[in-house]
Amino acid sequence: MTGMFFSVWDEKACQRVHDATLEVLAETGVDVLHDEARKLLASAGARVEGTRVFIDAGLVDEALASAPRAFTLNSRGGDAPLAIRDGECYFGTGSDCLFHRDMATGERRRVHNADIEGMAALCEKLPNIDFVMSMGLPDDVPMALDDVVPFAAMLAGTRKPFIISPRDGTVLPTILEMAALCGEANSFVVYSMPAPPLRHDFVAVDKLVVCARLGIPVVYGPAPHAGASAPSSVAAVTVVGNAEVLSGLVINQIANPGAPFIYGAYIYALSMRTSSEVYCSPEAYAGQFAQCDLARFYGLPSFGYGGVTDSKMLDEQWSAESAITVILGALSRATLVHDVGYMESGMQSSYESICLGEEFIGYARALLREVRVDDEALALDEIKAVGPGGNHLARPYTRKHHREFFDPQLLDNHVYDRWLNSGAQTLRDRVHEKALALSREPRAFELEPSVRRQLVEMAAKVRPEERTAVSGG
Amino acid sequence: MSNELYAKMKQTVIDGEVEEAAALAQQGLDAGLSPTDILDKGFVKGIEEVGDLFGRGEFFLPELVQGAEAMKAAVAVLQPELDKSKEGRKIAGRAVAGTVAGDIHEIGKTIVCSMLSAAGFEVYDAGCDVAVETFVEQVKERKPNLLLLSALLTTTMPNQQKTIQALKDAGLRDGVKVMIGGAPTTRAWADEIGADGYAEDAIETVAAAKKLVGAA
Repeated sequence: MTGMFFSVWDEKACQRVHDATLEVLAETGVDVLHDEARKLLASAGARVEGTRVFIDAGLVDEALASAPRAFTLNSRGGDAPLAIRDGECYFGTGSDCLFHRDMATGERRRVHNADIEGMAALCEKLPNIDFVMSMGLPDDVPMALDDVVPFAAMLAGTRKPFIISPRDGTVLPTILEMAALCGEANSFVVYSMPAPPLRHDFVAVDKLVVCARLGIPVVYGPAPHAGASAPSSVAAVTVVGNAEVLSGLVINQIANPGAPFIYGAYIYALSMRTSSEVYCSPEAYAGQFAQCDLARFYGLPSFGYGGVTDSKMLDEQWSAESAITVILGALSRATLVHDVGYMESGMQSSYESICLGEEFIGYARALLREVRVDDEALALDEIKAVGPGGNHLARPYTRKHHREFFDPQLLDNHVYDRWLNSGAQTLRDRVHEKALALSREPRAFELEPSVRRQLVEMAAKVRPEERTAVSGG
Repeated sequence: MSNELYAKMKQTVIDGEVEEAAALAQQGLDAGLSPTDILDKGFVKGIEEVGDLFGRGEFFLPELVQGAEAMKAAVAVLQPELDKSKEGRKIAGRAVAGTVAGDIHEIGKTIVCSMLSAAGFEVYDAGCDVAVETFVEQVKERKPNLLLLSALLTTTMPNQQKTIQALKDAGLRDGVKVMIGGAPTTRAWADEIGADGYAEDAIETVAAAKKLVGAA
């Protein structure tokens, strides 16, 4: 989707924020809690004092120059690859929800590994979902394997590209092998995040470095909270986040110049009233617009979110927030808009919320498609031919073009009697029905049993030293 | 005259004026007021009002945190005098809190510390990336009724379990109530590792903490 988007910062504003960020990086610095990365930074000319690293404009410029503007992310089923660059806008689910709304009982329970495979299989059948994340941190998998076992489950459910958040960088060679076994090694992106304000913890940096060396695309997303880990100002939050993304980019590019990198362009909010995390705050989306402007200013692909709700259930708030935030995510035109289907501020997943999110993605795509003004679009010949008082229903032009208009599957527009006689369903009824039906149909594809077995074996070899320590989470 | 001073002390907490609170605490001592009176009639009135305003939705986290900071500053000035006196300071409980080893996410834990402070607890914030052994030392040294362990990563959650085990090994487990929290943790995890309490956010943590120490 390359259509229209919403911009809040012009080049001058972006330059101002960039300059402010450079000041923070040079004068305040960032903590880098990773010995090797600090050595790399020092060799590249950064000033290092203990764990504090001061990065000057030259290092940032070099990193921005070497970072690729565009790269591809393949599927494992031969579908068209995703073009990861500014201008495109792809949608996908989110990762690591602790809870799941059971589709059969409506109960909110811990998420299981089977749910992760099931939700991936659902996404395989939803045309507007372009990439898949785990949507769960399973409770029936040993803690030491709770990244690699869900990865196998996702591979069994879908051939679409993934974005994953592994526990650390050590598992990445195994993950590459697993993806290759299923047809395509270059079919996933790794997600990593530092600890605002201005601190890069060991694991976050490890992922940046290992991904760079293995050529795996990495998205680095800080998500500072206004008033808590950044000042109470949307612009200030973007400066803090920008300082973390850019210093992360510097580390990533020093480790391997030209490594694929995605700019994490999203913020959340901390409710000052309830102390909870808020995914649907308007300032968070204003911030996302601003950060996407910044990412565009740098020429980097970006990563945002949408299709989420802070509601705990499939209620009115859920549908309102799901709709608004899909549109807002689309308006930001982040290259990758994730978390579609998130409920309870990211704590809960459900089949239904993914389905409803997907409906609104279709809506958003139709909304933001370029409104072309050319001969075909103006259709002057048609207007003249039909003239006053005629109708266009029988025209070949209508037959040719009417399917380009959005046709909702879940949003009902029947007249009252027809709606009543069809069962007087609510939106929630229809969404639930669709989710149930899709999950009961045969899968779109099945992995060979031998491949499934091999994936299980590969996953079982990971982190042997940790596995005796604690039981499943 | 002292009433006027007490009213000013109360106001510094409501306004979150840290330096002014410390100054007024000293002024009170210099005027011969007892440290207990200074607390109970002055600063504690302020923190109670802050709590009320927060409960009514008129004050939010920043005002709560800043009120707690002002309170802490005043207590720091009064502490030597309080230690001398027989009564000491009436506290709801003594707490040690920290983010576990390998984890540098602090905001949630910091908010909890402020809110516990505001609720009348004496709180020692051990910071982040706190080694298991350090928690054990702190419990031995400070003898808190409450130990709060925060983890924001699934990879560091096991350190909550290790800390509880280490307390058992050191013979300290029975003397302290342990609460755990942090985004990836759940009540089931808390039960599994033998924690005494769990809460999903800062506000619930304070309520649970009060119950655990019998101050609710």
